[in-house]
Amino acid sequence: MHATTLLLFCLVLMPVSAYSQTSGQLTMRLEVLPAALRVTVTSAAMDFARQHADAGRVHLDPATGEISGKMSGMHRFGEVRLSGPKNGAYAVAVSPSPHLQGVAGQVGFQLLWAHNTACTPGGFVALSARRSTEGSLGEEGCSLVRFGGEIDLLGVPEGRYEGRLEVHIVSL
Amino acid sequence: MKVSLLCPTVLLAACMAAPQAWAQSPSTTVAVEIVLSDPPSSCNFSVQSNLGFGTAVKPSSGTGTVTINAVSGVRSASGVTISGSSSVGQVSLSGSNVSSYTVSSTFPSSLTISGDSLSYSGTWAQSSSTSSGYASIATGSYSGSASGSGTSFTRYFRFGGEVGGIGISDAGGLYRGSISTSATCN
Repeated sequence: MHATTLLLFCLVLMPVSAYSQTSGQLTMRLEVLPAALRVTVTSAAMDFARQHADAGRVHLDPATGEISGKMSGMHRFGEVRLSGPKNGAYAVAVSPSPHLQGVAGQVGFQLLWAHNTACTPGGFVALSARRSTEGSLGEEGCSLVRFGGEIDLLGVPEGRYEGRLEVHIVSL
Repeated sequence: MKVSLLCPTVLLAACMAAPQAWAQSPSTTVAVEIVLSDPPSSCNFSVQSNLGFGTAVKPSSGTGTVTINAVSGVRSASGVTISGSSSVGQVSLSGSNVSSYTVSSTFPSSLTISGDSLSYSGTWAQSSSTSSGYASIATGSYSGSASGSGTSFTRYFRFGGEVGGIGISDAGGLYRGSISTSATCN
């Protein structure tokens, strides 16, 4: 006589309903800079032309475009053209006024400068005698800055005199 | 009549009981249950790079745009000068025991700076490879499949878009935004 045991295995497969969730975040960035200020040097040389020795004070006036006491030759102003956004602001600074150096000695130089907010002929306005100034490009997004100066030729011997003026321009 | 009807019923009952009487051994039934389930699915994001448009110089007039193509990762610009390095946004979704998944992304409509904003339109793409084979995703969600229990997978997602309306009147500085993305893995 032996016992029989009936085992019934029930295998139940359950559909999986569990799920996983995750999230993340991504950052974005864009740096915006002020509109570019374009600087064009339209005249890199300032020239007092030929003057009489011992002529006294000579003005190369950037506001009027005139020069006083000239004997002969062409006079020239230093000039830069600034362009960029309408009414864009800029700052101009110049190095200390140099002495004009010649073989026979030096000539004192004092900077005169003017600006024109329209980039059209005429319309230059004298700037103060400071070594730095700020301006804007006006409605057309263009300005001219013109450089002249004053020299004193009293007692100065004949010769050729030269100097260098540094101009720094930045947008604001 | 009553006797003749009763006899067949009794005989049938005896026949059915006969086999038990022959075995003469006890039996029992034990029910055993076991529940088998797949290992739990899991998935996680990893940010490889944030979305960087670099630097744009405001135009003197009009407006400009900066675009990063989500598929190629290439930056381009119109109406503005761009500089500095850029990066396409990229994240990876890695998971285990996943048979299907859905990824959803939410893009902001603008990048902002204190007191100002620039319009933004986001794009994204997906690939099974980190550096190639990206395909654009046209909607805000993407559903894919993986190999299920006992396997792992990784899917890569790139994010780009277009920042527009950059004009002279916009404030200069750093504009920021964020893209949110989430995944459900089954």
